[in-house]
Amino acid sequence: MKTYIKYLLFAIFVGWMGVVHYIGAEKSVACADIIFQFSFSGFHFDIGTIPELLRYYFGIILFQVFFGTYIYRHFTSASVYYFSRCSNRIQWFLKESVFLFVYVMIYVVLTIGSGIFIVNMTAGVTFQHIDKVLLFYYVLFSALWLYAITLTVNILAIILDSSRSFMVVGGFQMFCMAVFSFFDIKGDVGQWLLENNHFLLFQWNPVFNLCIPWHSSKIEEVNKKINWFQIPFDLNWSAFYFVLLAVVSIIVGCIIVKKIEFVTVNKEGGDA
Amino acid sequence: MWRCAKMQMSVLMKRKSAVIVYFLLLIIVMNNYFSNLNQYFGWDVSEMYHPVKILFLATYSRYHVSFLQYFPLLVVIPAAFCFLNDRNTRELIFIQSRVGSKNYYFGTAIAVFLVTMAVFSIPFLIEIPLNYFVYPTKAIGEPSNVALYEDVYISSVKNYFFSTFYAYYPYLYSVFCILIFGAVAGILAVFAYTISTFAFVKFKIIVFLPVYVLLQCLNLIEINYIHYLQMFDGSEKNGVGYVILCLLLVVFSISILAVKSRKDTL
Repeated sequence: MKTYIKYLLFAIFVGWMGVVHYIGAEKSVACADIIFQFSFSGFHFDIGTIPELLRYYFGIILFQVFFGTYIYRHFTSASVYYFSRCSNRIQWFLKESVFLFVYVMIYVVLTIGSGIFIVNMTAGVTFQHIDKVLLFYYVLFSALWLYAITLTVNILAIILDSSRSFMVVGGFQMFCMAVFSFFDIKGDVGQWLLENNHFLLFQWNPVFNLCIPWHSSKIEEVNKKINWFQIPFDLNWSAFYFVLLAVVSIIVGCIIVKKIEFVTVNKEGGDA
Repeated sequence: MWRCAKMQMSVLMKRKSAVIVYFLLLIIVMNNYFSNLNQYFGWDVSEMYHPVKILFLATYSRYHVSFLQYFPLLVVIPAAFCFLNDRNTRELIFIQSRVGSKNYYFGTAIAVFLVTMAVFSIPFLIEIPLNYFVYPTKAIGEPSNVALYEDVYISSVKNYFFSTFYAYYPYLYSVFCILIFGAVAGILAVFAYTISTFAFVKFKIIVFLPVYVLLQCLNLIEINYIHYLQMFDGSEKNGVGYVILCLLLVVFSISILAVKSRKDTL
């Protein structure tokens, strides 16, 4: 447990990394701008801005690597001993999943919290009342996505091993980021999305769902601040989508943990 | 040491991970080659771009940036898990007792470097003769459509690494750049392998971190590794800093492995 608590300190580093260019700014920075930075607003659907996307995705990858073995570690050494004392494996899995979610929440809150705190100490932060809404959706989206994906890494690791599992999940995430490069987007992105019927692909891409400023909102004031592409991409849709992903990963996890035989051979030793 | 390196290389090259990454790279290179064929079919020689400028790793290729964003994670897959595999299957004990600890660590590092370099250079090298024989060698066009005598173009060419070499021998220069790319991939893989020898690395998933964190930290100080890895990049770069960083990684890896090889891990 102590090992994993230690990893949460990386959230402060990730938070600092996200706001490093705001440190020492002459004018105070709007809280909404910091939230937008953390939700990939620097990415503009062109290849040149991929590093910007990767920079803010760094925290998500870091968490997956550290916590990608949080549940899986019980299936490596001494798993027979461990599970012989565990009468209800589904209950055990659900308990571990709840702990993982707590870690995810702390990590996400610590990341954005430290980012805002650092900017506030060095340049000052201006707050508006809609920031609460933006912050709520940022934490909700990031936490649910991080939870679903980290749980998937753990579940797949039970079947494959930790490295292969990360290759699959990490590869999927990178694919989600790179998917736009297969199309030749010219002119207004919003118009392109709607005219060419690519909106469905955009809407179901989980990485794009993380970007708050691309969404629309029923709250007029929030909608004015976000909705950069002028598309009907509701914040609540993404919330529902991420909840769905998290629930699916829990259900799949329950099935796999229930069906898996006790691991007598350590999978970590196989072909990489 | 060389005996151990040879043995490890023969094992690594047969591993599914190395074979899969090799063929994956070959597929994306061939995809680039055939899409270029499709696009430039029937073009006049006076309009046609220089064949090396449409290679996969060149700045103007459409998909290479997507590939380079995967690069920090891909680079460790072919060989960097070598130590953890040996440790977890207990083969480490047999190999070390047979060849010695020092020979094992350094021999494996050489094997990791060579295998990664081969995987990350051979598929790209294959594209050069294919382009050479298919496209007119007299074609000298620039994909950015900037005229060759314009100041913008001349100043961007000056920013290439070893730009004089490029001006005289563009094909040899491409081979050289791809080999450098492979060597950098090899150095990064050895760096990840070195980190994997630490006791805190209990799971293979951690091996993905060192290279990824390193390249992201460079990104943090406004050094985009993509500019350094792609060919014909016209942006300003710090060549000396690039070489120093690579040397530092090599020195770091050798020092750590030297310390590890003196310790009795059996």
